[in-house]
Amino acid sequence: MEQREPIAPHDDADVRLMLRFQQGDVEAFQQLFQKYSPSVVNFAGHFLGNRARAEEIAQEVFLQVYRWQTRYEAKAKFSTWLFKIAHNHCLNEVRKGEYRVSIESIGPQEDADGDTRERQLPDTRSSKGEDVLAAKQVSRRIEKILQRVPETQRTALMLSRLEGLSYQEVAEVLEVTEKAVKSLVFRATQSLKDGLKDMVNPDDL
Amino acid sequence: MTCEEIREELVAYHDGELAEQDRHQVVAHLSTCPACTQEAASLARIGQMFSSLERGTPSPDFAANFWRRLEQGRHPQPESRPENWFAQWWRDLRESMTTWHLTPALVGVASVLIFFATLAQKPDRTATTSGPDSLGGPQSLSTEKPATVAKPTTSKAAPTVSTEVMEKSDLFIDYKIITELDKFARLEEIAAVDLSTEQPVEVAEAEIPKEVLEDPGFFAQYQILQQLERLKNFDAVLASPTRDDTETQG
Repeated sequence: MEQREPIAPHDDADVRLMLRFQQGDVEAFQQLFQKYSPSVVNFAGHFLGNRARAEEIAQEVFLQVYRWQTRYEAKAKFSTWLFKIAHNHCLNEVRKGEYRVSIESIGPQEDADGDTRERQLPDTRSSKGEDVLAAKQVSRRIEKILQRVPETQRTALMLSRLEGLSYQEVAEVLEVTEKAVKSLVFRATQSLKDGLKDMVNPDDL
Repeated sequence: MTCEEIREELVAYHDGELAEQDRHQVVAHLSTCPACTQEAASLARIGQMFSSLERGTPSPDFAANFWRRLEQGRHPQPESRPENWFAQWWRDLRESMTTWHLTPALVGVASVLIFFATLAQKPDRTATTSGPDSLGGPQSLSTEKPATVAKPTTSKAAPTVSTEVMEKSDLFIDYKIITELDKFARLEEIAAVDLSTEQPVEVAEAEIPKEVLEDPGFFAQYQILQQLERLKNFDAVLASPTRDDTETQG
C-alpha cells in the first residue's frame, strides 16, 4: 500500500470546473452541484444525525460556493475546499445548541425481564433477509456511536472513509497536521470497535 | 516499535497513509506478533463496516429547492465583474464568523452603545474639544480632535466623553465605530454603490495607540478600522448613481 501523492489544485478536474464557473459558466457549477450534492448531504447527515436539516445545510453550502464565484482561489483540491465549507456550516449548526448527544446506552440492551442480552449478528448460514436486518442494526449503532465521538474525530473518519479524502486533504479541511488526522481516525475507529463489540461476532473482529 | 505504538499505526497502515519507512516497520512487526495481526484484522473489519454505511441520496426536490432559493433573490446572481468590496467584506465577515466569534463582538458593540447612551444623559464632566492635550490620555492617541472625528454629517451632536474614558486605549477603536454607526443603518444602500475604481485606504499606523497595536484582538478590529476609513467618504459616494440605476437586471 503506497502512500497517496498529493494532487496539485489545477490538476483537479473539479477545480477547472470551478474556474470555468468563475468565468461565468453556470453549467460548470451545475456539474459540481450534481456531483457533490449527495456527498455533502451525507456528510452533513452523519455529522448532525438529522437528515432533514442536513439537506438545508447542504443547500447553504452550495449557496456559499455560488456566492464565492468571484473570490474563489484554486489553492487546494475542490473537494477539500468544499468540505471545509461544509464542516464549518455543520459546526455552526451544532453550536447553536439545538443538538444534544443522546445519553442512551449503546451497549447491551435489556429484555422485558430486565436481563441484559447480547445482540449478535446472525452467522453466515442465515437468510439474506436477516443479513439485511442485521446490517441495518449495525448501521444504526454506528450512527449513534458517531454522534458520541468528538466532532473532529467524526469529521476525520467520515472524510477519509466515506468521501475518500487523503489524510493530507483531511488535515487541510480541519486545519491540523497529517499526524493529528492519523490519530483522530485511529481513535474514532477504536470508538467504533468498542461500541460494536456486543453486536458483532467475535470471529469477525 | 512497541505493540502499543504499532496499533496506533494500524488504521493508517490499512488506509495506505503511512510513509514507506513506517509501513516497513509495521509489516515487520506484524510478521512476528499474532496479537497485533489480529488487532489489524479487527480494525480493518470495523473500517469496512463503517465504509459500507448506507449513502442516501438527496430528496427529489433538493435541487429544485436550491435553485429556487438562488432565484428568489436572497442570494444575488453572480456578476461578471468584481463584487462591490464593501458588500463582499460584510458578507464574508458574516459567513466567516461562527456564533462563537460573533456573539462576543455584538455584545461588545452593544455594551459600548449602552455606555455612550448613558453618558449622553449625564452632565458634561469634561471639555474634550480643544485638542489632543485635553484628552488626558496617552499622547499616542490620534492627533485628530475628537470633536472633528466624532462630528457626523447628520444633525446628531457628538457624544461628550469623560477623561477617564478617553484614557482607555481601546476607546480609540470603539469611538470610531460609534461615530460611524449611523452609516451602518444605510448598509444596503452603501453596498449597492459601485466602488470598483476606488483605491484601498490604509489607516496610518501613527494614528493607532501602541497599546492597541499590542492587543491580540487588534487584528480583527483593524480590519473594521480600515473599512471605517472608507466610510468617511461615503456621504459623497451615496450621492453617486447606484448599480441598479445603471445596469439592467440579469
